[in-house]
Amino acid sequence: MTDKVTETTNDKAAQKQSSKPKNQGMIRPVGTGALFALTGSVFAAGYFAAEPITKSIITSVMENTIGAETNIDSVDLSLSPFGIAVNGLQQTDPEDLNRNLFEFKTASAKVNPFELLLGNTVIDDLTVDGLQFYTARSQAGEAVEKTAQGSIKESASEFAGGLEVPSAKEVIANADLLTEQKGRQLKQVWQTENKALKSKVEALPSKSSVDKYKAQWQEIQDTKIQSAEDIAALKAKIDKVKTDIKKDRAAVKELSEQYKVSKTNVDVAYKELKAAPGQDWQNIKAKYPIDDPNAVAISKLIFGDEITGYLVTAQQAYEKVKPYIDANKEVKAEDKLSAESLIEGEYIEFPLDNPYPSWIVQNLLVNVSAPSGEQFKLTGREINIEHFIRNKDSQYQVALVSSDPKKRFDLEGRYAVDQAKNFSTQGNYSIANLPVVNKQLSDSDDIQLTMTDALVFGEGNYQFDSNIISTNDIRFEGVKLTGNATTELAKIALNTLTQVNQFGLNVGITGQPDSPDIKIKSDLDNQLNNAFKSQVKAKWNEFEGDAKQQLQAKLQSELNLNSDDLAKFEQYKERLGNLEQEFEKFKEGQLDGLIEQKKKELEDKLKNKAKDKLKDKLKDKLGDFDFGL
Amino acid sequence: MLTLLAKILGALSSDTRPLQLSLAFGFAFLIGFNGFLSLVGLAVIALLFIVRVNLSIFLAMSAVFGVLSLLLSPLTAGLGKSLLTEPTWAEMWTSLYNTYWFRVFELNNTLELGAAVFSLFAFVPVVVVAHWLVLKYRKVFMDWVSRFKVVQTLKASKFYRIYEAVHG
Repeated sequence: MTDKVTETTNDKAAQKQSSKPKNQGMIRPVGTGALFALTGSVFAAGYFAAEPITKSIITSVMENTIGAETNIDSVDLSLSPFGIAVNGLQQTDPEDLNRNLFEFKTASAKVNPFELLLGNTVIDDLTVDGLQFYTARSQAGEAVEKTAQGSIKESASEFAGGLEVPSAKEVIANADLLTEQKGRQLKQVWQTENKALKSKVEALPSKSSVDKYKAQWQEIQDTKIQSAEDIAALKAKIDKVKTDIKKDRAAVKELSEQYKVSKTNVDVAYKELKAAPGQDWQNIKAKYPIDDPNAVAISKLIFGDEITGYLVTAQQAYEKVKPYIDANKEVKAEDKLSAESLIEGEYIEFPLDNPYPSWIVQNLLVNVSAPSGEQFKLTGREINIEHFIRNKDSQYQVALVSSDPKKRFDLEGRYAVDQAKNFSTQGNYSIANLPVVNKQLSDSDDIQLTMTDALVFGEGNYQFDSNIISTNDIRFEGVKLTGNATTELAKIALNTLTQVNQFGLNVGITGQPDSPDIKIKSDLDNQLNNAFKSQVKAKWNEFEGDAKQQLQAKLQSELNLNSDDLAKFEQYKERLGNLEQEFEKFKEGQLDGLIEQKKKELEDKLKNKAKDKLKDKLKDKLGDFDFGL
Repeated sequence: MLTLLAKILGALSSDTRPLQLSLAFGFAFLIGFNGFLSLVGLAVIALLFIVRVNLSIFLAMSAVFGVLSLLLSPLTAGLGKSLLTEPTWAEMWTSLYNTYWFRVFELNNTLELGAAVFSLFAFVPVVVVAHWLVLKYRKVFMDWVSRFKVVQTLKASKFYRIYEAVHG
């Protein structure tokens, strides 16, 4: 059976060998053709499918990121040079679906395909033509998904409030008055001193003790001395009274000393309180332009919101970009983690002649149409967010494109993001003959101002590295201002402003980006202040009178609050005076004098007695001689 | 496993040229160590279209050599590391690292480079040994192996008949 199977197998093999050509060549001509055909097919399929796929990806990413409909006319891909062109993009504004957030005619990018394979998006040239912001849409766009609200919100304007001189009541209510502080201080000093005085008063002799001393004093005075024993007994009595009085006199002395100290302290606090309204007034004068009404910062009122608006916009833009900078940091960290977790081999790094970050635009050109109709050209080099990789800052320039050579706007700057993801930038700009049309300047409570026409000249610079430092000198010429005013001063200001033909503006910005210190100076202030100097002066005089009256009232109020305490202080004084008077007669000398007096009385008495006795004796002896005595 | 054995036996017993079989072994060796998505792997795929080799042997042995490469990966990674960290070659590696293809195929990875170098150096010996084994098998062992009951059972199985029908 086994032999049969073997034979059958060998027969089959023999048949196979006879039926097939024995010398097939080592090269597969058909396979080679198939390889080329397959490779070509893959590239062709990729090329034709890539455009709609890319268009779909861009649309989807933008819609999900911005939160409103994105429209793209077409997407073109090219192999040599490898790149992409997006034609006719319109991005609906999620805040207003009837307008575009931005739109452009064409955006073309030449991409390095090899770096793309390495995971880096290196765009050699990125050109955007016909970029416009806030254009009207022919058809309302659709909201796709609500974007998260930014954490930065424009705070209430610090420049609101108008042109009116503030009321004294309002200023005093908001001020941290020294009068109130000193009033509280006086109360505190009194409480401390009162406590000390009270403890001394408690140690004073009671009225009954004083009455007892009086009774004892009277008793001593009334004591009849008959003998030397009586003197000794009286002395002992007086010594006991002296000991008791000495103790109480010490208590009175302590109170007297405490009273002197307390009086000094209370007097100091009282004097400071009396002087406080004067100092308060000096402080108010220093804060408000009372002595110099010319210093009313009209320019700050008019341009403050506008400048704050630019800063808020810049900060919002930065806050929008920041998550991408931080996300890139996280991605890099993940990459590192996954690389470290690889157990299959280790990546050895070598220095690269031309390293690239995860994305970079080496050359950027954007042609922007501003709402005013002006054309601007934005160019950039080395645009990326990982500058530590190439050790080169990103550079950007904005220039006005105009046929008029006198008309100029040039901005040059650079920025960098370091390894710790700290952003820094610096730059400068110059402007000449740049037209301003219908620009609203102020929308405060009492004045609304619009610059209908002007030409701007100026230059400035800025620097940001955790803090902002910026100086700007701007000059407006051929100015036409219109607006509305409600208050008296605002009307005067508006009347003057409408006659202004040119003015300068000096803006200094320093500090943290979320709370910048904006200083605005302008010769416009002088022009305006000259116009309503007398009105402002009168207002300030009125303010001065009111403020002083209010401060006096505050002082009186503080004094009233302390009057009970001060009255109590006078009570202490009266009691101390009475006690001192009472104890005056119990002085040690007085008591010792009393003993001497009693001694002398006894001596006199004894002398008289002896004299009488001698006289009697003599009388008896000499009576016999009868001298006629 | 049986399928693999059947394929190998079928190919060895066929009239396929020994060089086609030994090259299939060699290419399988390269794919097993480098994978399809590597510089060597892509070159092998292109060669498979152009050079006539036995695909059954190639596919079957790719899996075998794939397992072998995993077992030898500490050795190949060590080889790659010693090459990449050799100070005298640092300049060469730096200039290669600055080329895109080197980084795209991750040849700065110790395992990738070690496997590539080892497999390329071992390719010719593998082909030569495989060629000698094919000839030896056909001359000495084919009839003898065919007598084994297990081989006869295998060849008589439904699977083998299908394989033969497909393979021709």
